[in-house]
Amino acid sequence: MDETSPSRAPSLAAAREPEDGGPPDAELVESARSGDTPAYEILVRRYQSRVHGMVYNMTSHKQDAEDIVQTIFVKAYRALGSFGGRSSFSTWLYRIAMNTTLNHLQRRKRRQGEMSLDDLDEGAERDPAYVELVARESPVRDLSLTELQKKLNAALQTLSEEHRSVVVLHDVQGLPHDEIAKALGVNVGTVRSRLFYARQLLQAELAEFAP
Amino acid sequence: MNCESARFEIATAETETRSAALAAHLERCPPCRAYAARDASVRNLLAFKRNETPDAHFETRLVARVRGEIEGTVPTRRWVPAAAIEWFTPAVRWAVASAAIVVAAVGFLRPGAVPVPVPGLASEAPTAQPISMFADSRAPTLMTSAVPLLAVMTNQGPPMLRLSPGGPVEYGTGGTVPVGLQY
Repeated sequence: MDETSPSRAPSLAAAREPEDGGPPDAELVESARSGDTPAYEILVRRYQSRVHGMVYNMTSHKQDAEDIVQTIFVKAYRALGSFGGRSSFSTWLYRIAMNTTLNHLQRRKRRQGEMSLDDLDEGAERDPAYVELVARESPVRDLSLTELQKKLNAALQTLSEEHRSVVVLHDVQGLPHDEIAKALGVNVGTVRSRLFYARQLLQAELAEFAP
Repeated sequence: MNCESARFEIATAETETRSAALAAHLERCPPCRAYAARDASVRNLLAFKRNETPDAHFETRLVARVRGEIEGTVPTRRWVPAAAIEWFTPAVRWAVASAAIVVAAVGFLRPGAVPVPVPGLASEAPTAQPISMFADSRAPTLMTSAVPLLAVMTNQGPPMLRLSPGGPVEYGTGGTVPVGLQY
């Protein structure tokens, strides 16, 4: 890929609008607060994919991720009363999700290194990154999708949790820096510094894929 | 613009628009152009991870589990909190078991102490004999009430104690006292 036009993380502006055509988050939150469980289920369905993606990429463990995502949505439901609406529901949810995941990772230290991978989408082999990799004369051109998946997960796991969280939220999830700052409770400058440092580490870890 | 600030801008850019200063720097700095190419490659590889998704039934399972937790229709998966399990280490188990022995011994040795009989013990264990260190024939009554507790708390028991499958508890120097484990 031409270095002058790197793929940028997609804006989350669209994500704030309900893609499912349902009511806006604020309305669902209000209903859920008054005990409307189906309203909360819509929120769960709306955000489960993004929350799962974040948790899975932080843990590289699909079974753990499923349990953690459940815990996150139950915690969030029980904490709805404390949601003041100063940030968006998604940012607030991400914050709960990240804290819950980091707590899990602290407890899991003893079995660090274990991985269990998610399934790949059917269209993964048409992903621009993979297509470019295979097309290029490179020692890893014959890498299977699963092998690539393992190498990427292993590279992410070499980062500290604070650096991994920024990379996952920005480069995988597509959150803008200011949203990440709110979700992590740090300032934007810290997010950028962590991202810069993490990318340097990942360049070294993933050097075999370099153009 | 120096290389460090150029690379910082490359790595943290949120849009495709580059500042004039960065563009000028890249024009004359091949190492930074190479850095930009590697950075783009890393970004693309990380974006590839968006292809990883949970299985098709994940959403259904999740919604059902969350609903169950919220409505209280699903029992918690652990009947003992994880923190309690982590806290109840073998050392703690032994300490608690030792304390139980001391309490039992103090209760037994206290002058005028009245033993608490185990229901049905006399009829079930007519041949029960006190072990030699306790001359009082009431001793097995008290000890049999403490021994299973000890076994449960330690999960293995002291060296002289063996739990026979579904049967009597053996302890002491060859003495066998049948006891029920119903408490």
